[in-house]
Amino acid sequence: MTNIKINRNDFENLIEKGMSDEELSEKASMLGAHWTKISEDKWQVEVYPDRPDLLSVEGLARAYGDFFETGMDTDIPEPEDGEHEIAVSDGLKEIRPHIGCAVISGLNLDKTVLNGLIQMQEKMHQTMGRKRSKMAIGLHDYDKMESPLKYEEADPETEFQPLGRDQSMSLHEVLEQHSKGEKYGHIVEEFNEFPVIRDNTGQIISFPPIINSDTTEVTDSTEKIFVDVTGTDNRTVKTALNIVVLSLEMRGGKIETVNVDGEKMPQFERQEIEIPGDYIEEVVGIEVEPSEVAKLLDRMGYEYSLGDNSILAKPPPQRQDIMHKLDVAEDVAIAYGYDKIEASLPQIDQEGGEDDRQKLTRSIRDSLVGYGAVEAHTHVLSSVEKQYEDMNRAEDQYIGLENPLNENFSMVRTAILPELLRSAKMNRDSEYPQTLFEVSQITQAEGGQAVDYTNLAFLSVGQDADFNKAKEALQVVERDTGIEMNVKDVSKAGSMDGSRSAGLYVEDQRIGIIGELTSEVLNNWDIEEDASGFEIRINPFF
Amino acid sequence: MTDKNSQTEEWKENVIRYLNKNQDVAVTQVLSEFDIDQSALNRLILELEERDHIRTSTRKVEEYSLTDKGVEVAENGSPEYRLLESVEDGEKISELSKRFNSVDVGLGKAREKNWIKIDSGSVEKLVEPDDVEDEVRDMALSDNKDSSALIDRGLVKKQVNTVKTVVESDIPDEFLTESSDFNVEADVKTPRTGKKHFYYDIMSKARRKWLEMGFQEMTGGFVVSSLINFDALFTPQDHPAREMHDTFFVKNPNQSKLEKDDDLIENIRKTHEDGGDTSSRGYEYSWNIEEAKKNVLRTHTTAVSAQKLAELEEDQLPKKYFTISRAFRNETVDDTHLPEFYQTDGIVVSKDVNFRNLKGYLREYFEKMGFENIRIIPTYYPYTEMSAEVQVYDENSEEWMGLGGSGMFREEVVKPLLGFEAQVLAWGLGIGRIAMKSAQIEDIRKLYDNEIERISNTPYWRQ
Repeated sequence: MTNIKINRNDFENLIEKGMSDEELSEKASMLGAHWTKISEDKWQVEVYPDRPDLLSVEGLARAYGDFFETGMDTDIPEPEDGEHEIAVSDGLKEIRPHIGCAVISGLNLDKTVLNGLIQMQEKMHQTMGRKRSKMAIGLHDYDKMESPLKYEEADPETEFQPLGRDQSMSLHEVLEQHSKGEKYGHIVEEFNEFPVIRDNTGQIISFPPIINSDTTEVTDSTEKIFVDVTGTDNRTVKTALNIVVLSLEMRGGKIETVNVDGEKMPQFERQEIEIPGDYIEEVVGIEVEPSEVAKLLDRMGYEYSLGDNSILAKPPPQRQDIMHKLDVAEDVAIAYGYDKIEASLPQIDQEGGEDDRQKLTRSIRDSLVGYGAVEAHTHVLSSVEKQYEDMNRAEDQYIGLENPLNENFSMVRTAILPELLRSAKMNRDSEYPQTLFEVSQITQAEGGQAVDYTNLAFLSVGQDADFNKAKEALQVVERDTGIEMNVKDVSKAGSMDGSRSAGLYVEDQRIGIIGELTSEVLNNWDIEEDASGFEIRINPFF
Repeated sequence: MTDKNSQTEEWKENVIRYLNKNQDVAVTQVLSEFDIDQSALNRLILELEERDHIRTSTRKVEEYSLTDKGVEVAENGSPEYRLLESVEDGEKISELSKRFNSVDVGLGKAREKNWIKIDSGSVEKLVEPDDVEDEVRDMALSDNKDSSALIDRGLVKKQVNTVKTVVESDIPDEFLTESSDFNVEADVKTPRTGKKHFYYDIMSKARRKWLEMGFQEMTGGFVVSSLINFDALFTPQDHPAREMHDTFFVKNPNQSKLEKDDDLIENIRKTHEDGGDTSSRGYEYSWNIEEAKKNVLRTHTTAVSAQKLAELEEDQLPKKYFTISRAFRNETVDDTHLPEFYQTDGIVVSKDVNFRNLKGYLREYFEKMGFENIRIIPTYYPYTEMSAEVQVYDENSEEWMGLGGSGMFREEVVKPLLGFEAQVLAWGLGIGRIAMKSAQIEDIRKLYDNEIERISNTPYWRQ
């Protein structure tokens, strides 16, 4: 989700209604955007990826004007026929093929509105535009350019004066020297030619998705705006255009069409999705007549036509997330009010059942707690240093991570004892003796697959923590759970003292190790007391 | 036996003086030094310890003492020596055994020591008793009985005794005057005991709730393919969550084997590209199987739900499943975020459930977990439609806690995975915050510190 900051008074003026704090933080959140108060006049709105149309105060106003039925005019007007044209070159097919354009006139912009538009643009770029690669928006002062326009490819050496610079430079240089070029250049730099929009004088007014030209910059004295949206996905480009255009319309702008390579835009044609009469009851569980559904859809900005026992829903043109009748049902439920929908448990007769391993795990835990050990809860993610180096243990086949943020969490553990030692280290100021245990997962890489296992690890720390101490705990577990294993004197020195440790076996399969930790290992963990323990795989006993 | 307690407290003064003067005094030493009643001494030691005037340590001492057999050897000599004393040179074993028991042991040992030779059933004496030492008897008689010769022959048994030592003492003069009345109102030291970890405790209790509600447990591995974690859950291949900064990609094995012509994969591909068998238009892009092969650490336990759906047959419906397990996200570590966390995921698969039922299950679960007040708010997930964020009201802190998400799986998820139409109610809820509140922790990292004091002092969860 994305957060935008808006001015509360501005919002209330647009929807033509005053709202209390409570209404904004509680009721408004029931549309699907979450409102938090920052200060008396400033509110933060959390917007989800499916509603980029809400990324501006104007978009919010249009949606909430309907949702709260404030009486404001949210109708989407038919655009007027502007005589604007833009030709689109075929050469852009592999580079950045799609473009949508519109002209908005009669605007009265001020700093607040402009800042809001910039915020909307940026937020749309980051989310819907996938950081501009999928879609990018350009706004131009119409009076500073000359129609008709061309959207075509250009040589990287072509000169251009980007926004914020008073000199021109080549497109190539923009990628290298301008901050936006550095950030977004990767989107186009692999191509031999770059996409540009030129006006009739031949000057480049835009280098999408990087930057506009300095000459057509939109300021608070701009009265007429030319909108361009370029990108790699047609539907996303068209929807973004509609969002921008409708925001500007909310500020009093008149929409004029642009002939984009033979196609008139913007297009406010709505999808049509048929909702059968009983569908809402079937999926939402509320009983609503089609006429009632119509009223609810109205509050969500839909148009509709009523059929015999169905309704043809026509979602708003600035939304791209309605793909399916279930999406329509969700909007109906939102308008109805999620809080008003009564919970009800269905009758599904099924007995609960738990995984087999739980039964043994529970017994082991009860046994060791009864013995007097404290249960630890440790990390599954670990490091080579903790799992192998500090344990004087040979590396085995572990699951390593490609992109760990933090060295401490760079692999999936193959043993739990190192984590118990870490816990012992955390408890150095607590009184001794200390006994810790845990039953939990480890993962091994085996034959090209990752396989999880369940291990029981036990650690005793203190003056008397010797082999026998570990052995007695193991015997308690065996006694209480009925699991049996053999002890064989085949341990080689590693984490544990060679002569005071042993391997644990079930038939001929080695399942674990028991013994006294070496002073070298204990030193690695800064533990001054003696320590002994065991770790066994308990999967064979499930 | 006279009750020494009813005599003057003078013995206490003597003991205290002795302790203050000497370090590392074994309690048994004190007992032998002053002729006093053991239980009275133990009470005094305990009291001194509770007031922190002394520090003690306890260690186990192994001692060996003679078994009955051992006693016999100590008194009469080892079987082999007695045999040597008694046998006549050339005597037949059959004769010898008539007047000598333990003849086998005696013969065996005497032979081992080259005291005798056996030849065709007769004993040949090689030495005379005066020539050799009965070492075994000597050992049995000695103080140090810890030898393998005695242990192996069952002549001694091991006893483990606990020896308590007063390591340090600093007992003030006032002690005696202040301790003359026994204070029944004072707390005694709560001993260190075994204890379950509060996080695992809450999880067991959450598990019980699901079982009570008739859910069956499902499990899955930490490492899954992107297909299961993302694509099957209709998450587009260019979704930000699939980037390096959110998801852990596995180095080895870094790919899952996915066959292009596998039915499930074909269906997922078509669904992404143009909606496939569903009534959706899909994402209208070109789906890349290489992206789907990439192995990740599952970023949500919903991956387990996806795996379960892939296994379900139509005639098994309706079904309810739950899991409580770990998921992983590549997030910057801070006081509310860690790269691994627990979630409880649940699904209800049926031809006949709806959104009201989703609310029903969530309410039931949270009520059982002790949260009377819950609310759901519209939100968004790529794989659910009718998506809802679940919030519960925490009475103690008087605030609403966001505890996870829920919704009904989209047709684009259900159709390819199940192969038939059905409704799937689904949720993924956090448990960490509940555990943190229970243990009064503000920093999530403390859930993994395993401070023994904290684990011991956190009461078991009452729900």
